[in-house]
Amino acid sequence: MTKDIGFVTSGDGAQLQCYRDYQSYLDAELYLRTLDRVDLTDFKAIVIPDFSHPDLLRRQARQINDYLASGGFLIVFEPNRMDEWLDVVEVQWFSRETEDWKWWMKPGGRMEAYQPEPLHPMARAIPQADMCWHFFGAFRLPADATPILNLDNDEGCLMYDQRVGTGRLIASTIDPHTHHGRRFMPATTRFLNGFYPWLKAEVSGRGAN
Amino acid sequence: MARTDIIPRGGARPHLLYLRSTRSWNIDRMGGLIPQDWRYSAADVYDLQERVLEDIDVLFFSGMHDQLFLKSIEPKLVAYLSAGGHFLINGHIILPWLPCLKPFKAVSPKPFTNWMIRPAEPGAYFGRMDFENYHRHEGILGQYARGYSDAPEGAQHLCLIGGPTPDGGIHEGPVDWVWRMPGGGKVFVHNGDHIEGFCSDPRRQPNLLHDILNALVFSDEPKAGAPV
Repeated sequence: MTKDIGFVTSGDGAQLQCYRDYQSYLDAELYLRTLDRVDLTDFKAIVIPDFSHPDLLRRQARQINDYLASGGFLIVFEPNRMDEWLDVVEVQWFSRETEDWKWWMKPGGRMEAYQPEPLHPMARAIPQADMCWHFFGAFRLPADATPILNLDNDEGCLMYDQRVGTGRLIASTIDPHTHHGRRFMPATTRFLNGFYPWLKAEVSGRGAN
Repeated sequence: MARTDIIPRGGARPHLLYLRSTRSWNIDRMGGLIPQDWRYSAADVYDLQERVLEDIDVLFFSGMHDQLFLKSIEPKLVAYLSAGGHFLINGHIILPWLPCLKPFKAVSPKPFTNWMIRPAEPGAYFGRMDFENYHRHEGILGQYARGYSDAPEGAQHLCLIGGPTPDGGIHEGPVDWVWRMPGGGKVFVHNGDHIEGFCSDPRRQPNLLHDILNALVFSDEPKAGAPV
């Protein structure tokens, strides 16, 4: 692994925009359609952004699974139905609508989620307000995973961190790239402004665990 | 003004080809949104590489489309445009995949009135819209669009977005524009996510998507022979 972070793109405008905005933290833009021509093991971490092309993800699933199984650090954002194509680890995703997608228009409004204590290192880098806009379903939290963002009353998990053999998976149902890349919803920009510096520090061994 | 002497490339009826792409919004709704007296087809965007386009009047791209792929087949798309085919393009162009496209530019969301859409030369495309309301989604500004792209010389600027900047300047541009390639077809660009999400349900009159499609195929806007 000679490079830090690879960013997978389906060629959508929002994803192309995100790569340009956070390029200083990223080592390569990897085109999903031709991902089979890339040696993913060159990268310490691979990011699959929200709203990637579902058919292409299924077509390239073997390679992505092999990367995770061989010790890679995979970060996947929904909606991508990772439960349908990740098979080296079980992901239990279920449908769950955001209770009120316009919660931010109401005085005192909040999205029904919280950051469990002790805070995951990513949650120490990104405040709860910058993780909340809406979400695409939720996960049943694996027994050996660390939650980063949970639904109220632990009804489900919106983001978790899990060791998979020598590999590592961060799974998320919040979708920052599509909104930041479309210049809508400032919380998603604040999330990515925290996320990429955190991830870069994490993979280059400078992370605070 | 609608012309009656135009014979659609699709034959008796105009033929729209909708390109399915990355989780396109409305992907399963389009057949109900396109005028029922048009011919409608849908295909995976990657089928464009091989598909014959000579019977297509309008290629419709959703706000989520693979710009890397489209750039790779640019000569074929330019040939389609040169031969009189039309484009309806949604989304933020980051990698211009036709020579007439330019990268998206965001405008400041403050003051909030910057995100209110104003008419420039709406013509047959937007001329029947109520500009106070047609672009609001559940009353919210910004869902329609957050910016614009520069249009080629000779383009018809249909609608404007933007306004004052924090430093006292003015930053505005065409959020919706249409350009006619001299001797060829037209390119309609909506610099937002999905134009068909606004006043385009078939139960809605006036119907924005129907107006845009009919203007693309049958109107003389922009006029033929406009400056290059």
